[in-house]
Amino acid sequence: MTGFVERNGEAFLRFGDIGLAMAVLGTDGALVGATHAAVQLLRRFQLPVEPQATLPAKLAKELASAPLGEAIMWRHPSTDIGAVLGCTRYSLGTDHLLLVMREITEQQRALARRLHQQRLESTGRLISQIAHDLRAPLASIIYNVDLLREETHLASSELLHDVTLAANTLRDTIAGLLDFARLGPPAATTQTLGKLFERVSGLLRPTFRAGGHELSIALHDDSVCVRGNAIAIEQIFHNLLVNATESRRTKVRVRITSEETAMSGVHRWRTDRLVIVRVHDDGPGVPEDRREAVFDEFYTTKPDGTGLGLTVAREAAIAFGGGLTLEPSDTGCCFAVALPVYPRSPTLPPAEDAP
Amino acid sequence: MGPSLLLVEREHALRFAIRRFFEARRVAVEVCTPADAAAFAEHRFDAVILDYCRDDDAAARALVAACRAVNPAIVVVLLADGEVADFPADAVRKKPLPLDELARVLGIGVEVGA
Repeated sequence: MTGFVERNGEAFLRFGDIGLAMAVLGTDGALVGATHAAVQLLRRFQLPVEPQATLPAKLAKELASAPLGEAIMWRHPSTDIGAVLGCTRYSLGTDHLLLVMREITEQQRALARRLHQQRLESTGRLISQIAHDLRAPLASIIYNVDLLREETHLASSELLHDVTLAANTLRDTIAGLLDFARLGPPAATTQTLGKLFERVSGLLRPTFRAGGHELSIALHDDSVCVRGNAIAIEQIFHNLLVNATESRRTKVRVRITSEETAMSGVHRWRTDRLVIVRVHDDGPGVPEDRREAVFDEFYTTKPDGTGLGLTVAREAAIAFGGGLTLEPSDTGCCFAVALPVYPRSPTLPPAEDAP
Repeated sequence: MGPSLLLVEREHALRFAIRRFFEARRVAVEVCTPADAAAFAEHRFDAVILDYCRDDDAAARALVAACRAVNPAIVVVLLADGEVADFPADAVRKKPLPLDELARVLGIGVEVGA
């Protein structure tokens, strides 16, 4: 193929001095050519730059399975480079692939995290403002319907009853929005698993209904308590369930189960029990070699995914003294969320507020 | 003579509705906005309903302290958008609270004329 030259044993694009880090690969993963910037980047990540050299098997496999135009993040497994290599592949005719690469430093990743957090906070403030603005007129409707019913002796009026029902639904929605908006300074609360999944499944009911998906919840004990920022804990399971429903276009069956297990070590949660909640779906699953990568920031296989859902979920679970892992499964995905069981005894000292 | 209630609420429509509801239950109701509440601080009330906003936290605490100084048994109900930490209230409820529930929280008979 034209446009490439071999120089000093390295495969260069003819326009090798342009600033973009681009490489051309054969469909077999062999390096055909690369710009000067790409060669430098490949070297930095200790990847081969000789013509016809092949990429490491793991990287090649990830690239092969990533949709065209979608970035993957690759970290060299045996070096401590404080950065990851972002690679996006594009089709180049029928025989070749164009690989656009860039180095993503820890600082850039940290900046992306902060930007994401800022966006969440801005969204929270906006939602909060809208909810506040809606609350007063809604309260006026509720109160005046109450008065109307009382003063006109229309207690049995179906019309008034319907107005009240609709207003109460709006009231609950606004309360939910305000809860959601309080993502900023975290307030730790204790909640039961039963209540937690009632809220999570309620929030996602329309999603499951629209996609024809099935959700079954079989908790070992509804009354087991966990503690932390309620919204963040909900977000862990919300993200896992959304991931499950988006794992394929057709119907997905999701099963949630739980069990308790002993926890070792002394920690701030003052409990020796963990609850393990498993979110198991029958989707396509995750290949063995990508099990850890799914928790990386910006890792996604979805065209409109942010690649942050599982990262955020794992960080939240860890922040609350637990963790999130992807367990081996014969079918689909099985994510296991571990959270400390919060003692129900009022005589125990309160746990520290979770971050 | 029935119980007396101070209602501190920003919204005119809510002041109107809550006042009317409680007056129908023979409660003597004084209404004001948070900005005007200080004028009632030295009056004696059996209960106060306070539309709480974090921005007015200091003023709300001062008002409750003043009301309690006049009547230590006063019932203080906070209507807030969410959880309120360490506020010296007898009850904190999310807004909007249905009127009959509000009456129950205050311990005032729900039926008209009770």
